[in-house]
Amino acid sequence: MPDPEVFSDDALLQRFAQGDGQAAAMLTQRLAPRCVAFATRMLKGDRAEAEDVTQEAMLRLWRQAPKWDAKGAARPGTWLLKVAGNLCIDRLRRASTLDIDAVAAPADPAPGALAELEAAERLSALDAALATLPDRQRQAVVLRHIEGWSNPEIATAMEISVEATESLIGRGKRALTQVLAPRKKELSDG
Amino acid sequence: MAKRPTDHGSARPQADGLGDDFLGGVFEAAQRDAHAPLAADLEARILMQAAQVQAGFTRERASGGMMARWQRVWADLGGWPVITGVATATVAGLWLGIASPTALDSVWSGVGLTSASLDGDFPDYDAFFEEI
Repeated sequence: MPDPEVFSDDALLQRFAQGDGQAAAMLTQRLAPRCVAFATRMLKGDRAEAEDVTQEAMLRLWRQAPKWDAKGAARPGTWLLKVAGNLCIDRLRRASTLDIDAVAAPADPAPGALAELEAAERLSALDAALATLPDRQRQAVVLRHIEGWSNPEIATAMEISVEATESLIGRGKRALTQVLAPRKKELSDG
Repeated sequence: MAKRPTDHGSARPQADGLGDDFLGGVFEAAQRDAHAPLAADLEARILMQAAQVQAGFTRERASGGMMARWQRVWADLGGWPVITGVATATVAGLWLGIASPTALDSVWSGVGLTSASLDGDFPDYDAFFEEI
């Protein structure tokens, strides 16, 4: 079994192309959970759809393996999220007739008690707020501030300019701030 | 209008005063979030597809790939001797088509014929054009 400390994702993908079945298991463990989490946020919390997207994206990665350029700019993980992002956008477009770049109306402030939130509740609040964003804004914000991609990487993945990326992220963050503002105190504690 | 400085990921304070610290803290929670383990059935489906794709790679390698398939077709057609014969026939046909009849005398003379001796060997077609 390949040593996980030794083999990069690129090396594992090459081993997969050469017939190493253990490489597939290791890559799945490394890449698929993050892809499910990303796709779940993109699909506004629909985990079942997110798992379908992840399965499809992983299938495309397997098929890409013989042609994979280990010296290229893309890493398997970023390539996978790029494909998953596109698959999510396609599904969202099929499910909605709205212009995906249109500004969404801010959600009503969450009703209920102002109980102190634990980390899971902060996460839940963030995910709910992300779901109110237009799809492309949500994708850009998640890639930037949760997945940690740089703006040029996001621009490449979304096939837009860096300036357009910054614009999407800026608008997305302003919308998130507006949605989360009523719960700012709770989300800032702890 | 002054051009905005290019931002390649650095935090900028929000104009509404809430600041990036607020959102930054929320995003940090998401970044620290340990991803839930993969559902067993999803993992099984992903690995089953991986095995199927890998089996395809193995079949491709066993058959030698695309180049080997073309080589088998080539061998079935007869290989280079066939191509040589086809090329020769093509050149000969082209020459026959463009060469003048007298130039062929050297060819027919080898079998005892000339263009003149051939003249009387063909029927007189005038009869076909007589009015009936």
